[in-house]
Amino acid sequence: MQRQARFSRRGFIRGAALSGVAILVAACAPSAPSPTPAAKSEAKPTVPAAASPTAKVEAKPTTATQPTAQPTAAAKAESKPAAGAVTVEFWVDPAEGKAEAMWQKAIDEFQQKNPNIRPKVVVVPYSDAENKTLTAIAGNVPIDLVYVHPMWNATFAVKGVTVALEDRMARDMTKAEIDDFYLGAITYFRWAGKTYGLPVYSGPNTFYYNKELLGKAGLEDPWELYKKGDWTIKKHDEFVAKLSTGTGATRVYGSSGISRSIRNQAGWIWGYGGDVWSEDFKQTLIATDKSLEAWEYLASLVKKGYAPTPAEGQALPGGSLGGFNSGRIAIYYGIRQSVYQFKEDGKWGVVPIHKMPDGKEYTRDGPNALGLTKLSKNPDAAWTWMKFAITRGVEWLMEARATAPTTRTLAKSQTWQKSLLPWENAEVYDIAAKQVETRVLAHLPGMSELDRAIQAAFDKVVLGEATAKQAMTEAKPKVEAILKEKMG
Amino acid sequence: MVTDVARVYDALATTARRRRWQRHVLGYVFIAPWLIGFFVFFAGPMLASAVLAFTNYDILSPPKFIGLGNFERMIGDELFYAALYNTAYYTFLAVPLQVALALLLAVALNIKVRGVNIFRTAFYLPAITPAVASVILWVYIYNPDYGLANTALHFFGVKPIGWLWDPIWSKPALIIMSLWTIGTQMVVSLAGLQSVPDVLLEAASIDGAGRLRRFWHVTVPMVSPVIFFNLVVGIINSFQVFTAAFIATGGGPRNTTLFYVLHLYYNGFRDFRMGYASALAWVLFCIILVFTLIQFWLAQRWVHYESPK
Repeated sequence: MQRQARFSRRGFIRGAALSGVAILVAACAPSAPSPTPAAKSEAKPTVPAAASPTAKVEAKPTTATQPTAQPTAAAKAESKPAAGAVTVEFWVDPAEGKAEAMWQKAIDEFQQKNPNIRPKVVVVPYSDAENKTLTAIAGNVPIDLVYVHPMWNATFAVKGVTVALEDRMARDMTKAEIDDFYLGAITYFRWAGKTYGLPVYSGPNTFYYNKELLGKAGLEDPWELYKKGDWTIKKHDEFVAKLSTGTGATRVYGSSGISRSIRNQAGWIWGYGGDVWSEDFKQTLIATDKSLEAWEYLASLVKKGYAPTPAEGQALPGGSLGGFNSGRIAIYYGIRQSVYQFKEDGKWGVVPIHKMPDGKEYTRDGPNALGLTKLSKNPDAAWTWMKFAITRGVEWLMEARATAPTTRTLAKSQTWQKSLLPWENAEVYDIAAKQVETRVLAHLPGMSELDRAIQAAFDKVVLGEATAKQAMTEAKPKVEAILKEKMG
Repeated sequence: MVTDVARVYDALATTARRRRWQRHVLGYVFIAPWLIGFFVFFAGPMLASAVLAFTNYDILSPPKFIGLGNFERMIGDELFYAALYNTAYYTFLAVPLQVALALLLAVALNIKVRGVNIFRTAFYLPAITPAVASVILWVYIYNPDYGLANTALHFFGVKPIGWLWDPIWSKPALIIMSLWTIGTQMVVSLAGLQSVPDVLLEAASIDGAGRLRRFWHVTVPMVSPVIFFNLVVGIINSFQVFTAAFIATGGGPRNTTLFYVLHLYYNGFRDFRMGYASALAWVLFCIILVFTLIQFWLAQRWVHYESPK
């Protein structure tokens, strides 16, 4: 009789244990070397119509008064790093999904002259950037250059995430080159007298408006009014009142409202004679009488129905920007980076922020910068790339309509002029850049948390649950407690 | 002779001890992967968190001992109380609704009709849908202007609701959302229902009990252990509600959906107050433990474990 093979429990357990060990060994074995990264092929050069390049690839910004060069035609489709090349990883804003393509053009050009340095772009959304950077640094991830925004520049400086650039700037940049930056674009990246980032993006806030809606309401063009000196806060209020019509799904808001962040609201607070911080940054002045007037004004835009509540804004398809695009919002408080999301067939206009009650003009910039981290393994190579990025890199971004100029020289360049859409106006952006220089809000360590505490109070005012005095008086000690914790 | 026997006895005893020892070692070797995982990913972090609860720690600099500072901060933190209230509101409304609905659904799916398995699958599927995808879907359903929810209300002549964007309706909206994923509780209830002996129901029927009486006086007591299980697990999970609020509302509007774990997350991973977040975690652990113990104590009065002889 044939004996049947018996598969015992012991045999099964032995087999399972052996398989498990084999799997573990395979998993722990060193991985195969990764293939050489395929060269990016989308860098099709744009052939300039005009002057030859004057900006060097080493990225010293030109100081000539004539328009700077167009992006060169020299970028090849393939760029292979030389042997012994170092990789410089730099984190940037997504720029509405176009960051990688835009930066690749700059990288291709840079590598022509610097084959030993291979910049590698990593896209990090704005909402995650601060936390991801801090977590990465805490985990000793050797990032070379991080995405610095005014909201977290001071936090990074205080926590030692980024290093001061004074020595490098003194060595490799002239005073003229440093002064060429728009004051707003660079001041935001200074803390305690030192510079912790250099800007690769600038976007002073302006008002964009729907010419069709304004025309239907019989309103004059705001830019024409501005040129006559008549674009005041009172005129703006008349406009938004007249433009706010309808109910429900067909409701049109005259204004998108001012973005809910102290960095945007500060201009109005100053315009009403108030302030945000005391000189020593130990107190907040959001509850002074003059500041309260500003808060009441900002809330009134929503309370009167001229601007959506935060919930209504979120409920609009595409948010406030989507609302502007679809004709549900007539005047949009926005930045240049939003422009390439506007409908191409829309009839748009742009105008600087109106004159405030104190007769001055303010606006804020929300520049992005690159900051050199303390963990960079190749700080010199990173610095070489950074110098290129803040000049030629910005030119490539301007060509892609992803930024306004960061320097006065770039503002006069052909690249900037050509990047503007037919309805855009370089003069408006130049005025906006100068409006930033009227006054720059100090962004303190823990700015994000400070802002949240202030906006929580402002929400109560907007929703009619408290007066500005009640809400801001209640918020003051909370904000000062955060100030004390973060400032030491 | 006696010495020889003793020697043999010793040898046998040693062999037996060695074999027992080998069996023990082999047993531990086989459970080693789980043990390592437990200590590395569970017990170790718990211990670390217990220590960090008494420190100021922002992950960028070493922890600094501050004694009971984090707990004192908690007492003065108004968002702590808001988060507790929101979580309690959610838990004590959502869990009874989930348990009741799961049981009723199980009763319906226990009826032997053609294609009942298709219905069972359909009702269970949402429980295995990725949470993030479900929440995003519900955000669209709840959209005040064009969402399905308000469209349905409009059909019945009811005024549209702000749902997730309305401070009054935001929590009820999330509670309704949670009812969509009662598949797991339904399956557990169904298993309990199928173990109710038919003989008891027949006897009750013979004695003149109608459907409702049979359900209330026979079925419910028989499935009370299952109901108890769903209740305990439901309360533990609801106290830790996070995903829906994190994705759909971020804690708003006006902190009305700032649940406890979301508040903990923001403190730990947004504001980098790991010490305070650890303290919050341990307070939550104690709260859940107390509620669970209370439930086990109350269970003596209404949960019947004995099966009929």
